Amino acid sequence: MPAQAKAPLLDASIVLDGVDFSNSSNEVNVEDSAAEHDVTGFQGGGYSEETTGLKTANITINVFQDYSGGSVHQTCAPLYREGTAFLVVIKPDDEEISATNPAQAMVGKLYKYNPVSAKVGDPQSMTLEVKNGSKHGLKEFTKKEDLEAFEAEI
Amino acid sequence: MAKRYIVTGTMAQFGHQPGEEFEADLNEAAAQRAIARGGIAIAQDGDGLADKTRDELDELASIAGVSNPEKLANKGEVIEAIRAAANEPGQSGSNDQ
Repeated sequence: MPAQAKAPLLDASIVLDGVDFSNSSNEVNVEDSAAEHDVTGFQGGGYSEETTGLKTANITINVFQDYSGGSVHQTCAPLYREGTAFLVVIKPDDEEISATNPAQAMVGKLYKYNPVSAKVGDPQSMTLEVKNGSKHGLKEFTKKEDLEAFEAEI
Repeated sequence: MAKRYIVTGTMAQFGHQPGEEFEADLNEAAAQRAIARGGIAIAQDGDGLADKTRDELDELASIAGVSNPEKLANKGEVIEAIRAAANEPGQSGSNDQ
């Protein structure tokens, strides 16, 4: 039996409002979940019956702080302060988008940003929380041209 | 409409590395935010600065009156400093070479 592929995340690509956060991040989670509604009726065979409700898209990124021009703080602080919607694109590998390297894209808003965060002597880091901020929700793209068309549309 | 930009920050922007010039039709709001945070600047065609080496840029920056250009993080920042110095009152503003 051939060995099963178990994809470690080594060269993830994390782009937030056009800025490449890949080398400034060490953890990323893209989560798409749906509310559960119990729709169990009588004579249901003894099991509860669930159905999905509204979906929630949420991306968290653990980022090392950097105050230099055009980098982490200069990017995140105004996005958080002004509640600006922006595009975030995550790929498992820093290669072309494809069926084996799909891009997850979302127009989101920043709900959590720590401008200063560390224990004494430790490198500053924080977890950014980006939540869906448009009707598009979380989209998956397997072709570069489709992602570019989405970028032009938003 | 596509415009020419240069990456002035220390992190890659819109798929381009610090110091790199590129032409792109960026979303106007996203481009304005990137300019405001110092990540990119609109490139001034024709001054040839982007083609110069870091050493050449440091030398030009010193001539232009930029103090300690060697301490700037990357080519993009040196180019911005040279352009800013050229546009200061009392300077000719010319990039003729």
